[in-house]
Amino acid sequence: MKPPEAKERRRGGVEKHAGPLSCAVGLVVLIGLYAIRQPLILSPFGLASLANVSVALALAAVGQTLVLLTAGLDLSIGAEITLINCFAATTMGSSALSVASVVVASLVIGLALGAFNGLVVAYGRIEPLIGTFCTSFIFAGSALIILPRPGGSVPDGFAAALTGNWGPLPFSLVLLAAAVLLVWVPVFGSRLGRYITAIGDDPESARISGLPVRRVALASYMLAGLFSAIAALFLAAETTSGDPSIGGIYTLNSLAAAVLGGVSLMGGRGTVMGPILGSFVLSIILNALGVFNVSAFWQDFIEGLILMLVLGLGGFRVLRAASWLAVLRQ
Amino acid sequence: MGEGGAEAAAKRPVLAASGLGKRFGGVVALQGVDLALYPGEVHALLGANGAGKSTLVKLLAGIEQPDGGEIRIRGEPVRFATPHAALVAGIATVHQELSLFPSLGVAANILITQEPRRGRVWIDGRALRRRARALLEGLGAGDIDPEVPVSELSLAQSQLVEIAKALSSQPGVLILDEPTSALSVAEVERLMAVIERLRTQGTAIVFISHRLGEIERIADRVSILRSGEKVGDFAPGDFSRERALALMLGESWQEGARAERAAPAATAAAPVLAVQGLTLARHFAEVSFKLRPGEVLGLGGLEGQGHKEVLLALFGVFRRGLDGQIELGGARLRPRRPRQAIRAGMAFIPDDRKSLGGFLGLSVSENIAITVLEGLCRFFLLSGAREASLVGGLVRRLGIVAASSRVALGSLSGGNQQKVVVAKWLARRAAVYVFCDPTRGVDAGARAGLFGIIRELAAAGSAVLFYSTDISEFPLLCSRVLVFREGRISGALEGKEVSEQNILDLSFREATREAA
Repeated sequence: MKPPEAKERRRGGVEKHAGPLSCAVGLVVLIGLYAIRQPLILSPFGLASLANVSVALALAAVGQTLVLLTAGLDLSIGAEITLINCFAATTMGSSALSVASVVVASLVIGLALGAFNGLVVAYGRIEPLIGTFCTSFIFAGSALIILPRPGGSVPDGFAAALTGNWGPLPFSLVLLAAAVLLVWVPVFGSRLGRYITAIGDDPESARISGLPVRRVALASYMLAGLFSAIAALFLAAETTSGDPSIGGIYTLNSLAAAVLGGVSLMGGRGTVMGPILGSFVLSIILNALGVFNVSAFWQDFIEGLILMLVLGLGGFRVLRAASWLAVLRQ
Repeated sequence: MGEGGAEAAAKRPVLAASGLGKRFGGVVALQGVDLALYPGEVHALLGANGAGKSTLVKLLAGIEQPDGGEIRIRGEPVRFATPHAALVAGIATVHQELSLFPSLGVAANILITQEPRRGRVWIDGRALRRRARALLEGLGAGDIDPEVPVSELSLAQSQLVEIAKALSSQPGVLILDEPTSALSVAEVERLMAVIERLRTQGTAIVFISHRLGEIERIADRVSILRSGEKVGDFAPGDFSRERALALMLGESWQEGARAERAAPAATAAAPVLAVQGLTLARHFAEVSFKLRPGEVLGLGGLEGQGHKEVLLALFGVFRRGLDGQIELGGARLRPRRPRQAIRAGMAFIPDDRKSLGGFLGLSVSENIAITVLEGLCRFFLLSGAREASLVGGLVRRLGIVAASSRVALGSLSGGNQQKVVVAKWLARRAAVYVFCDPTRGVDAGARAGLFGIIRELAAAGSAVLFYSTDISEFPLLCSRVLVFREGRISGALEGKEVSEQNILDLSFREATREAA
């Protein structure tokens, strides 16, 4: 009896990590290709700059993953980032106290925006696709009211604290690791994480098993808002200002990074390393378009094609097979 | 087919099937069935649940392809790859589930895909309505306005529209799958008149119904199916209720009550669940019963009589419209969500374990622990040790076969998956266990294991509600059975009275009374 099930288990283990593993391989290959053209990328400064262009997307993608795991979808992540970025840049001031209180306020606003999404989707019973698309306009519109054009500022100390590096170790990676350790790890060590996965795996079973389905969905959108807020603060530090168009790209890119990292769009399946590595791969590809002298006019066009390919591949995998490995086996 | 005598010899059958067989996986759904349909005759199919009636209909309608045997239409052998092919060959089917588009008009529905056109592109609205009206009038349903959307019609009117749609291709054979099950007495009368009219027009009609009275009245010939085989037929004028029932039941008719009865006896303890006057429009009405600890109470009857919905209602699946009183453990319960029923002490093991009850992507351990995670936490973090000891104990107690409790539920065999779903509720120590058709699609060994668990639960003082589409399971498990017919309890059987024969008798009771 045992051998087939043991084999099943091994395969399950490999499949679970297929997304992160293939992203890790892809990342090494990409950095190698990049280095042929631009050897400086392998210096501590080069690696730090690669990390810096990827971390905001990684934070957004981890938030998106929390929602995707419940078989939901958050199309307002970019707008959340924009709104909080504009808020932080216009209110931060320069005293340590005001910086600290704006950081805390930004995180609270992130949770609140996520709660609004959760109420609309879980309690208002509006499809996530429609509901979060609508709230994204509310959030982006609010950002324009606060800050109609790029402006505002953040103190240099705040910027340096998030974007500097300590020897070869960029602070941005420390921020990402801290966010994962302080949010993801406790969530998945507690009931909430178990419920998030269960609801995504089979919502009907979750209902029949008496899980608090709506509250868990609400929590997942709130956590996504929290990660958006961290990403928004990081972007404020990186650009030392606010920009009412800064977040737009993160909605679709966070989705693509999660799918690239093996997160299922049908819910219930995904890791935290997958979307993070997926974000690095995606950011480096998009960044490389500039380095390889692709005309700015073509960059959006190519980006669209890449996203379509990644998300299409995700759909294909979801429909046809459990993972890339399964696709390759066919 | 010799029984038809001279008359049958004179007429040639419009459709003749011989030796039809169909397997689904390892299960034989139909075997060696012969059937001859003559123009201008109503041929009734009769049989208990799972006898093979719907499989036979699916083969004739081209929804499934037979594994053996052949179908001839006017002497020509045919094979239907699709339902459309059957329609083209002149076999139209009105299924139990209607296939109309509610927001489209009556005429548009009747002539869908064969709209009269002008210039090959533009739909000729006037001709469309005229042809639809002619078809409806042919059914004596000229009162239905061809222009109103189907969503505004009653169920009986929609059914007539569906029949008109089936007749639009001028079929030689019309199959009506349980057309009367959802109709009122007056509506049934009207449908009977329609069938008689079609018969005089020379259509061969296949009529399926559980109501013996209707069959006696309308059918020219009757074929009886049992366990996928045709066990008898009646030529015109030969039909007898007693013989039909005997044929449907098979050996159990002679055997009477089963010797191997192992139903646990009810205790005299106070009821843990009391239901009074429970009513849900269109599903069931005035259902009252009491359930005591240690008792296995069966809800029996033919499929679709509202008993399954009673169980779903108790578990809080229906948000609105529930009337009557439920008392669970002495407290009033008005469940609007399963979560409320579970908190009050109810457990639910559903029929479709692929989608309801288990999380196939989660591990065995995660599945079992999901209902009791509160108790497994230290501060707010889950304690792996507590989870492992809970899960380990239940895996041993139920004899769940898995390489480890960390493998995904989806990798286990069906029987073991079901044990995991039961283990999940045992972890919660529920007061009332509801088993809703738990043996559907489960093999014999797993079924025996599950019955063992149910008896053990009852012996340990839990109360069990049991529903199954397989009537033969009730005598093996239940100390008491409530038989449902058309949403009401038509009778209760206790102790030695619990037998397949008595359950079927009560299921057909009204029809039997008409004869008396």
